[in-house]
Amino acid sequence: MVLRATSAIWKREMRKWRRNRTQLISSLLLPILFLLVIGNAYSGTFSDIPVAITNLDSETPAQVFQEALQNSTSLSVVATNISISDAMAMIDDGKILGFILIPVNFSKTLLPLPWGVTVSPSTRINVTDDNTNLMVSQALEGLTAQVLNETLHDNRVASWFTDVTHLPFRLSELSIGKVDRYATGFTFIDFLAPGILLMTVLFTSLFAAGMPIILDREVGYFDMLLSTPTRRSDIVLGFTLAGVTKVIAQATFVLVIAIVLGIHMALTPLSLLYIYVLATLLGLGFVGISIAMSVKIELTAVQFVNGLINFPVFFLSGAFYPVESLPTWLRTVVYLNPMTYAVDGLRAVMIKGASILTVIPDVVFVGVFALLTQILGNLALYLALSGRQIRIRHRSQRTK
Amino acid sequence: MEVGQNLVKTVEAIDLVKQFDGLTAVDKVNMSVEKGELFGLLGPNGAGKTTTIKMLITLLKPTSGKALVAGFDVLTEADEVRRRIGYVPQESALDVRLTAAENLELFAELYGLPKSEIKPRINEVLELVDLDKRKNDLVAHYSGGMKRRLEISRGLLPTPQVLFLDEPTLGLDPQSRRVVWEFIHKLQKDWDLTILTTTHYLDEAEREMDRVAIIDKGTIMAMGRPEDLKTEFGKDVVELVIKSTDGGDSGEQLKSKLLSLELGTDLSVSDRKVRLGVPNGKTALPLIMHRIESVGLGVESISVRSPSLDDVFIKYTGRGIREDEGAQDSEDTKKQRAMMMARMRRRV
Repeated sequence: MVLRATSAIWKREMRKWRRNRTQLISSLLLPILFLLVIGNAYSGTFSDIPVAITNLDSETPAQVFQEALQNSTSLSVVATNISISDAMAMIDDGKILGFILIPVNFSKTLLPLPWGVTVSPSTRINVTDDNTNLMVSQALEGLTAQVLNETLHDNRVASWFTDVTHLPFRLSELSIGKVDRYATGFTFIDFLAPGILLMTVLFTSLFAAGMPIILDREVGYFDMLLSTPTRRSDIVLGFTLAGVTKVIAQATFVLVIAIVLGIHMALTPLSLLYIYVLATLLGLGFVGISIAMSVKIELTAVQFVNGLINFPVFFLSGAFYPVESLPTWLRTVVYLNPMTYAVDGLRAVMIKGASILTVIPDVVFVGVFALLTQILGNLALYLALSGRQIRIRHRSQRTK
Repeated sequence: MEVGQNLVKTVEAIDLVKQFDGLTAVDKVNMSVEKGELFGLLGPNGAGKTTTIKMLITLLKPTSGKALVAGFDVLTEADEVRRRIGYVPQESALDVRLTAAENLELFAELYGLPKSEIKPRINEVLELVDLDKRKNDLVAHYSGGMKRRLEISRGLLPTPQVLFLDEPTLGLDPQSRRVVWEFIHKLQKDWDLTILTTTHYLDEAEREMDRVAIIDKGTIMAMGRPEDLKTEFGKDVVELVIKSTDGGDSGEQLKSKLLSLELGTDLSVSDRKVRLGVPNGKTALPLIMHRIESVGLGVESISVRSPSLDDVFIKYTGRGIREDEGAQDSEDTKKQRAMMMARMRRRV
């Protein structure tokens, strides 16, 4: 068999990898941790934000509103009816993140003019929040508006209105009808899962493909390999295939973890195939880079250099932060990053169950990237193996 | 096919030169190893031993010169050479997470052994080095000596005509060293194997090898059977220590003073220790004492012994093999270090 050396090298790498328990466990734990910690840490919903409420209005709508605020699981009301200065002091002390003030005329603003009052800035709900905590600050404003909306739909508010005005309560509503295009209950962790899968692919391909080569080089194992009558290209191919196998295995781990965690996923055989196509192409791309680097890089520099690649590639891909949240100058990097296309494509096939036809531009971009880096990596290793050394003669030249 | 068989010289190097970034690591080495011989390249670290071996096993391209291994040119017939040699590198190159058998299996494939022969062959070579009972243990659990034996057995997988052993006992305890040499001798005898080794242990070279070449700074200084080299040196070695109270002579002055006395051959002076060769120690002693005292020097102690390879080494290189390791900042050491660095950079 022509590729005996290749398969022997592949087998060796697989055995070493399988028996390296630390590496195996960490490769399992890393995606689990990422999914569980990041996926849940920033899920877009909040609970138990500490706030204080002061209600200066004794009418029913204000009471209903205060009640609704206190019942909200997103909030934890730690003080009521305190003075503004006390509330400010509590924010300064970090005891609360927000102070909600219901003004005296709050209820009356709901009534038509003969009974009510015109809406002036002072009669609006007043939310003072700790705006150094950006995400909580934004959430509080949204939450207050949401609770206010619920209050207006409360029957008690309607009967209070009728009691005062003897008119039917008709809420003039101006809201946006939001329809979820895909399965409901879609959360941040679902959004994150494809990115985590590809992050694992990225980390594995950078680390697991080049590292054995660097180690072999540093301990002189390559001298042993090269002293045998083996074609250098067979050795190179063995290392590349081993790297890709590790990537595929790693992607499978993450898929299984995602299924176990109940992440929304299109699980048809065809969508699985597409997932593997995209993950493998991206893996091939970074395996190529890793192998190209392994020819020159020293063992002590591996972590540093890998970090330099991992960090921007992952965070500037839309895997974690939406591309739309980045400034324009950074978006250029995002659009040149192969990971961006892999994430985009994978999100479509993995979550939406899209056909690979719809993500062809993504596949082409990642594919070209893989092709180029594979040429680079294999060539670099091949030249390093045979460059200054004596080249082996081709099989056909062997006679006798 | 008879070409390889009838050749008496299994390894032959002609004017072999290797330069790294302008530094000459091996300088016109000429040597030949005969079939079935256990030949040793003897020299301090950085002398060019490993570089010479790497050229012979086709891992390094010679800058100039020519080398034939098993009758094939290392430059133009590298593939044929690789088929006929076994190599045991200086650094341990084993996968510790693999078993002994798995380590060998990889190389059996790389050497292209027929599939059906792989298992029996692995058993055979492991049996030779007495590791067959532990073939399914992870190499991580092996001792240093066992790892070395495993590496030697790996070198035997292709049924080589020549086995290259680079510092086969480096870093091993005396007992393991002895065991490793026993196996090497057994191989040489049972397989009629030609073995080319390097070492910087003089005692091993003297005791274990059929023939040695003393190599220093990339050049072969002397070559021959250890006994012959020793006889060449002189029949007996006289070592004496000059009293420190006598004069403030520097080493050089002391040496020239002693040389003028014509005490014997190959005189060397290190601090106050003087070493020289004489045809007959017993009769020479009184004469030496007399002559030294006649120039106003005192002798603190004096002894006679038969020559060792160490004496031969000092004769050709001007210093002891171990002294060299201690020399920290000498120009030689710097040069050697630069050369090793250059080699490391090249090595992939």
